[in-house]
Amino acid sequence: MNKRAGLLLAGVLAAIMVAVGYMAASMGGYKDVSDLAKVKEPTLVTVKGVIADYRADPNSDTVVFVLQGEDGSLITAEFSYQRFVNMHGRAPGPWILGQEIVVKGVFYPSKQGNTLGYMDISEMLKGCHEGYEAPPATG
Amino acid sequence: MTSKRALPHIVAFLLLVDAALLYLVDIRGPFPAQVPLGTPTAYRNLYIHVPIAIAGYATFTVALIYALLYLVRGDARYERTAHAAIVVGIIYGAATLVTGSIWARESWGSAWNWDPRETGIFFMWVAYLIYFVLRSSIKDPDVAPRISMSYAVAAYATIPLSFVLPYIMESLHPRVTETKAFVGGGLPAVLFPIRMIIVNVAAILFIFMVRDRVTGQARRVLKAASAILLAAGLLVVTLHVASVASAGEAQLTPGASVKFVGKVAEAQLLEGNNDTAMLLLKIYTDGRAVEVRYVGEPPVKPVTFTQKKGNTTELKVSLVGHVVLVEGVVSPGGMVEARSLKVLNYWGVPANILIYGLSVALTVYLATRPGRSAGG
Repeated sequence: MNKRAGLLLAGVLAAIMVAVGYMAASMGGYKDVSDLAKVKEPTLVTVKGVIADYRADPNSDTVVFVLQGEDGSLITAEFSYQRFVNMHGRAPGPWILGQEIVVKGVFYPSKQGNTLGYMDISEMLKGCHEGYEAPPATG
Repeated sequence: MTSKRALPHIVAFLLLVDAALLYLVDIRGPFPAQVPLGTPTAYRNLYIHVPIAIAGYATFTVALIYALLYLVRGDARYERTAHAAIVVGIIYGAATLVTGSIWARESWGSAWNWDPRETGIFFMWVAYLIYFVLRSSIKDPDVAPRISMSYAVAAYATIPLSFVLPYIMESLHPRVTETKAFVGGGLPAVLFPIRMIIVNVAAILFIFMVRDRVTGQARRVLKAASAILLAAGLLVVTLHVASVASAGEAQLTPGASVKFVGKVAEAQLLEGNNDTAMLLLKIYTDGRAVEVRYVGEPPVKPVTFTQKKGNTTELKVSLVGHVVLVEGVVSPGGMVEARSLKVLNYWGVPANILIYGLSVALTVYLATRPGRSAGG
């Protein structure tokens, strides 16, 4: 193999790697609640939405969120009450309203008005971007 | 030759300074006064995870330069250097994935969720891992170096890709511009760049030591420094376990002494300042809320901070979100009068210090083991 062939091989492989890597990352990224309008059958999805309303019941270990997408479309999404408390250190309350969250789980489409369907949340996620807006503290 | 012999001593010195710095990070590393999820102390991983990740990028960049030099000039020394750089990069890449997942578990809510940055780093790591498979599978000694170096150049494409993904896709991972504001002032502005320099300089110098192997007295010095760094990791893990293990359940019987661990859900500064404060806290422990009053030196300083939201400015108490160890007595009304209130580190901070210590120990092992040098 000569010098030129070696560099050419590197170039071709690099292009393939960028394409495959980009595709892999695209599949793993998350979308907006409004994108669920395109989902036609139960699908594992990761979406972000703003908490527009909620209902919490510690006895049945459930918190049901109404999540709003960028275009105003809504979904209802259910999570474990106890897991919520463990993650956030406190019970769900009015303080969660208006917060943007990212949730992962199986989405069951059933369009009624601007409600797109129901989601069974397996993971509740949150980006850490806002954390860096606060001043440093020590302890 | 002299400069070559000096490298292990320079790295040994850096590792000793780093052991002290990591201890400082564990007990005093500044964190954001308020975070969206999890305990704020998890953000001490900023001083651990980020320098390791950048060191991984740096070592793979060295690999790219030497692989290109080999492809252009054909000198075997370049191929050996590129190979050693990939060996070091793979170790730092693995440490990046593990330390990042441990941090994400607390601050994102899940250790692994195929976030674009996570996927990008994982893809990069696998791409470089394939390099070793490819290199060892080609039996022809004339062809193997050229093909594997071509592949090493190609694998570098995964580095800019993994870096830009949070900029072009929705991601839970912050961007440089966001973290820059936090590390731009106060103690973070000192601690963060110093660790960044130490970790990166050590990683790059490791490349040449893995390539040439360290022998004699320098070998002993390097191994001792690496052992001290590892010991620092074990020390912070042991201290963490000891602090948590002493706590029990919060039995709210009036007059009873209690010692429990919980998470501060709400906090109110009744009076005081950074020296002495009276705080009223709502702490969640074992799924229930306990009211706690504490008078004394605030465990987190500044005790309060202001936050702008639109046109309004809110005064917030920095203790919210922290996991704390409470020691006190239950009052007749059921409230705990705390005589001691300590902030507990997120377990992932000492764990990640230990993981970094193990990564360095593995790299030092590869740099000091007897036998032929890397790729030789």
